Amino acid sequence: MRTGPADVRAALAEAYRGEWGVVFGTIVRLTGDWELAEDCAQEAFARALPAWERDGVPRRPGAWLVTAARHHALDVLRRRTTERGKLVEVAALEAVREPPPPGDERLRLVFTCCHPALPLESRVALTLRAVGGLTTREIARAFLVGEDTVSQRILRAKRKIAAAGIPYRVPPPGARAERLDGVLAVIYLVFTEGYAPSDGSTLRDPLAEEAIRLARLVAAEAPEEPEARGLLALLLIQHSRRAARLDEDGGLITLEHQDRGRWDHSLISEGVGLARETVASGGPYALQAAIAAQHALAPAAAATDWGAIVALYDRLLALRTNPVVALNRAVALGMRDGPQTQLDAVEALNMPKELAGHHALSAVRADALHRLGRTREAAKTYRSAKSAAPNEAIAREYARRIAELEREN
Amino acid sequence: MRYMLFVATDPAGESTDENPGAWVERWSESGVRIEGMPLKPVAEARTVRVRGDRVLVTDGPFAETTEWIAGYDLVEAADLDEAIEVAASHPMATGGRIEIRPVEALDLGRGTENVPHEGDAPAARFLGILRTDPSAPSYTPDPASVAEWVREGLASGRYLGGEHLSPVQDATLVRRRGGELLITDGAYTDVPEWVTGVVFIDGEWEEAIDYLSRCPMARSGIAELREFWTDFS
Repeated sequence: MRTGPADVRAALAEAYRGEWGVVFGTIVRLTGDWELAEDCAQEAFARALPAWERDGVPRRPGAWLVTAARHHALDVLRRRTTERGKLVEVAALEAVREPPPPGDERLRLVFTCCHPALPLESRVALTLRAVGGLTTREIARAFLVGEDTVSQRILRAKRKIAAAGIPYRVPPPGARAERLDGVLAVIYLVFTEGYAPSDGSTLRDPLAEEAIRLARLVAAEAPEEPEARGLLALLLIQHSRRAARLDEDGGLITLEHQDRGRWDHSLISEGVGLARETVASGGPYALQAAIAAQHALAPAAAATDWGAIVALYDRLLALRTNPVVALNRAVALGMRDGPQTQLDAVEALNMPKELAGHHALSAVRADALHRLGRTREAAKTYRSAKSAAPNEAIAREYARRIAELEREN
Repeated sequence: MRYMLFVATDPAGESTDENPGAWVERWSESGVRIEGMPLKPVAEARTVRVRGDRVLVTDGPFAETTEWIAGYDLVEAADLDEAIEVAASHPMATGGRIEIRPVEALDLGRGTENVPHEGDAPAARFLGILRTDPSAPSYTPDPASVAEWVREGLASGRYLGGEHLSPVQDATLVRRRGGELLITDGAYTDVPEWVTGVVFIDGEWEEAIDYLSRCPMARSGIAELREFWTDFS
């Protein structure tokens, strides 16, 4: 039995990461009351520290925490029993039943938090709070918004779940695949916010790591869904490059110039394994993971198998036309067949109006011009990319390329 | 739970040859659909506002919106997912858009219950659509005056029933585009004047407008009078 204070704290931290969602979800399932579930989960973890220090860490910390939360819920509801409806909830809490497997509890919670009838921002905030156990302050800090804003988003979600009758469950088979897409989209959004923050500030690892944890959870609990594993593979491979993505000044380093020795090869091997397993399913995350895997496996940028990547982009585009994917395909095509092909491919893109002035479009065109030796035109095109850059890090990267071209000229 | 489905038009809707009759039959037989009725075009609406002592009646809808309510259906569903399934299978989910709003029970006391009826809708000629008006002076109608207005209408035969809706933050929009189901948070149209409830009103136009002008909710909001479309086939 571990009893030292440091051991207890470590066990509690581990339980918090692993069991918060299970504790939270159990109380939601038994009472339908999300506010109460949050109070009870907090209370259970608060009681755990002194109890575990006194009696030792329980053999099944998760079960201990669920029981503590249930007892607290009973106390609160008994005090409220003047409200007649609550008696039903008390009965549900008292009934001794074998609890469902913890994985079911988490999956129900994640599907409910990501219900498409909730506003997207609320889905993200509620998922991080209820499933991930992040505090309002942590979420606020990660998204660079005020704590009040986060509280409002969470409150709004809880209110709509209750008032609009959003069920607490994993959707039935007919709707499950469609809803899973929504869940994966929320997780991907959490990841990209951590990986490429929309404000361009330094990368926020905690969000990216939380997203990987959520993807792992869904992939483990929904093993029949290759897209969940496809997303996990994609996140692992992208995250493997985090140490190589920024220079000392916080500037972005493109894939081609990254020091591949600084990539995290254990993440890559896990991600590539999953990508290999799921690529045949042909889902969009699985295909993106397969593309990321191609880059991850190339010992050097020049050794990249661009033919394979173009083929994967073709499969991705066959699923759904997407201007960003089409642009990336143009780049891959240019790497395979040369800059003139890249330029032709970019010119041939049928870009929707709102993307006509997009910085990435200009940058890809500029890159082709540069490699064709048309440096003047290239510099001019990078300038338009720079003026449309969404954040400082990207603008700096374009400025660097403009300076480089001016030196060549 | 009880839900109001607002069946609305949408210029971005897609053509469909699905049969609304089959939808009605399917969900009425399963006991999910309680009632419903289409409305005549919004251009024929009349709008009533009461501000202080002044009764303002205008021809036409409360505002020019690209989407407008073309009918309603009241359903009793297990939860929002079932209500979404019902809405998604409606031909107007493809041809237009459907807003799902939870109905809130509103007990105004004895003698204010909806008039019992059978069939597709109360045998009323009009639907009064009650909305908020952010530009109106704030005023909260007290339940007693609403109850009195209802009792008066029941006695005169103007009022045949009504439904109070949960706030617009609880609305869900359902559309089908390119064969894909789109479920989003929000109402059928993005205006600050959101629908708070509906009332079934019978009589001639002038009688209905006169009755609506005494509605306590018309003092702080907007009451839009829409005629049901009964002579369709």
